[in-house]
Amino acid sequence: MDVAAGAAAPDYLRAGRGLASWLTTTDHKRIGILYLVAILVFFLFAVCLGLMIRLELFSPGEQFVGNQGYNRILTLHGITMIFLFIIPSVPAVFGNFFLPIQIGANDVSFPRLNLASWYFYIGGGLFALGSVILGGVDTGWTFYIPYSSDTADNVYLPILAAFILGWSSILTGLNFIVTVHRLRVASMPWFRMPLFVWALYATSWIQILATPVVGITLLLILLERLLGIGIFDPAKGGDPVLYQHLFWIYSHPAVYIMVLPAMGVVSEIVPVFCRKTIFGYNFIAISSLAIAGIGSLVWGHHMFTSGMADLERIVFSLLTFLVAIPSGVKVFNWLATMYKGSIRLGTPFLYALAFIFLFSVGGFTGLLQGALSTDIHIHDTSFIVAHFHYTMFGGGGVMFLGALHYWFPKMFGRMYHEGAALVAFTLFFVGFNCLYFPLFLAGLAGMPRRYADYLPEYLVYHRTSTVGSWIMVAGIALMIANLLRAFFKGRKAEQNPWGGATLEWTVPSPPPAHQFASPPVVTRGPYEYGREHASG
Amino acid sequence: MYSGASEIARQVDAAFYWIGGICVVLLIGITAVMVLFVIRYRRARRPEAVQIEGSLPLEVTWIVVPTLIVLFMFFKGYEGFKLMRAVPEDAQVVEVVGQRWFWTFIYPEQGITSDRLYAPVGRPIKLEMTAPADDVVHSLYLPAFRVKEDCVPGKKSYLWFQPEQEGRYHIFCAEYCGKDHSRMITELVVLSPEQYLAWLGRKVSDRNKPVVMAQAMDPDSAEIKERDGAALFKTFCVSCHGPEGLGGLVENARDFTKLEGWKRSSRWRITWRRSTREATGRKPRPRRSSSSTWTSVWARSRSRDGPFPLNRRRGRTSRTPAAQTARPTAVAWADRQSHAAAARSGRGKERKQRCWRPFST
Repeated sequence: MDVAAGAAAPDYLRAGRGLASWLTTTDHKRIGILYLVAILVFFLFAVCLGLMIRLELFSPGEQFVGNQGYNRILTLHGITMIFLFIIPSVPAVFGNFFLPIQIGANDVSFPRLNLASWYFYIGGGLFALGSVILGGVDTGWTFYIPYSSDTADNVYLPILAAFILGWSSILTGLNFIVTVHRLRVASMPWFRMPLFVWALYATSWIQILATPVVGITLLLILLERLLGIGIFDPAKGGDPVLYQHLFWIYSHPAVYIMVLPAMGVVSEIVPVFCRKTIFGYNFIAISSLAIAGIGSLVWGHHMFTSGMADLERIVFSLLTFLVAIPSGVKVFNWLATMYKGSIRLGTPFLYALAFIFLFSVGGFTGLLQGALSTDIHIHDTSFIVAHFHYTMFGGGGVMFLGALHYWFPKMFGRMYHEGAALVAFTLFFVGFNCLYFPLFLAGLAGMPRRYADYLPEYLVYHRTSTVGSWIMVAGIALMIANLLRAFFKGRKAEQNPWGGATLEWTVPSPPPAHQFASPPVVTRGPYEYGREHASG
Repeated sequence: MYSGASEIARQVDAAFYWIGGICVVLLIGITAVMVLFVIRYRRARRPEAVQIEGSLPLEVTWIVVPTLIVLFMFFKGYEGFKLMRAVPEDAQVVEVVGQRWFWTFIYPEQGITSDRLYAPVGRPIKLEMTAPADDVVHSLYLPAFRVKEDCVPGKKSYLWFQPEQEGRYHIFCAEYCGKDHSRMITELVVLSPEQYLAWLGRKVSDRNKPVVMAQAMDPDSAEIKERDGAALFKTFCVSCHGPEGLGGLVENARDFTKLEGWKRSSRWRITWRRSTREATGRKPRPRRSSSSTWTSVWARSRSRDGPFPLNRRRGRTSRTPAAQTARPTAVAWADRQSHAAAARSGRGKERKQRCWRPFST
């Protein structure tokens, strides 16, 4: 393999100085860092909102924000977490940083478009924050019609925010697809690509195919409000359920945008920490595409009680069950990879294990929601809230943190304190389950979701959950503190601290601005520990 | 999970046990294997990994077996669903209107309405549901019977259930509908057939009972409180004030829509939302917020009444200031159950009570 391009060249962090050099950069690694900073800020902001939700629900009755305040916090929490954190998290940060390196390229295909995506992202984020200043929005992140065309709150800003963020998402996806097709080094055929690249590739297709639908749908809300065109207004012959279809045509595939890249990260971490080639490479790679494909056809399971025709519900239920298969294939292959491995229980691997467990809980409870009769009972209850957080936060969110711990030494050339990371992880994991698991039980007992207030019989679930949120936030705080400390005065990291075999571990930590002076030559698969030990 | 013991609930619970049971077994299996591997194959014990590329038979196994399992789960869910949609011929029809933020149950045969759902034990009940075209989506949820269906403005939907035990069961609104979504709660009261007939009789005679005008004009009078406002209106007021409440059908009949606390809520009926003052014991608050921080003042100036044309409200009835600022059915669906007691003990106390206890007697 190619030795790193000139050890004397300054790394990408020091390649230019000053704020201007960052804000005008076209280096994919720097853009990744820009995303990282922005996404972490929005994430912590939304965590605070989530904490407020839990505090309000500590007891029945009004605590401190009141009904309408609760609805606005809930909406903002959803919009920020979904559009500003989970959807861009792994692809925009780690995809930008590592996708080109992993396929032996020096940058993405359209570096300036890449920077433009970041500005779109920031613009969308500012619009979302602007809606807070204008008094908040109470529609929920789903903007259901007729509520969103009827509410007195200003929904223009968050809708424009989501619309602009959609552009950021589409452009990033486009960039990745072209990069994978055009900039892969000649010695890396499709089935020698790292699985993270496969996952990002599948995700990118969803991003460019599904996001325009939600963009158009959101514009229709604006037209409905501004001009009263009546496409969703029953008084004018429109149909509110049509909105739900259009919304979920995007927003169901969007959950795979959130979780597929995370699965890609797990597929990277598991073989590295087992020092073993991945089990069933082809099946994992293809299952990403299968999830993207089938996942685009199951949106109707969000609407089993919306008054759709019975046949529609039955067909959507059947399709929903089929999408469980490729996810199962991935989990089984990860477990098989661990079999007879040589396992090092490093922090990133713990996150991967946590992902497998939490995502399995989320996936299995998803089966209860895919089945028609059971879903009718738990639909729109806190069971859904718990399921959603187990899959999205336990899936996408946890692997964002896992990826951060996995690639931190490569990105910043410094190592964090592993003991503190372990404590933070434990707090996080315990808090997470304590926070979300009671909501399953509350949902089974009939607690509807999005309630600012509840009957006293649900007190025990909500109180446990709120206590869990404190534990989890303590874990997150410790994690952030640990990483910040490492950034400023962590010890120097080696080039390949975990013993990975993909291309990013062959360049120095942190990588120079131009990582490959000449195209690297790939002579083996990304996880082939058998033929040759990863020595860097 | 508590249950009203109906056939649907039993089928749904069976599906829960089947699917949930399989899931729990698989989850425990996966977790156990994971933990076992981590312990057995830790680097200290096994410094060198055995390289295994994959295995086609295994892959086929864990594609085919889960497929069969999920098809079984699909079938289990489908079974219960089929029952949910097959309404028995002899079901009694009750129409349901979901509005922000209260329910109206209409018994079309008897021509009466109620804000709680009454049903006789043992008879299938079919709920035909909708929401007014100018309202938002609601969802009627009866957890004890495992049924739920959205009330979509301008559309009709239905569900059915058959109570087998007398008692009181929660009815929630499950689809987010705004400010008092979490208080859009009422109850299903399942009575013995005799009690149910007695209740029907009371409602019908109440509807036909003549009304004294002096009392009707005071919405706080006990005589009016105890009656069903909507039914009252439909029977008496409508003759002079018209179905829209616009007045003028006889001399001096006022335009009710100009009074605060009135709401033209649907094309069927006019519901008198007296519960506002009844609940809070206060006059409705003037505007939506009493806070006067610069942001909220500015936001207000920009939003509803401000010059910014995009924000001007489109003049739907539900957006009239009275309907908006009234703190309507809100807090007080619970109080409604004991008007007399509330009147005696003085209103306002209930609001301070932190845990409202809906079904305590």
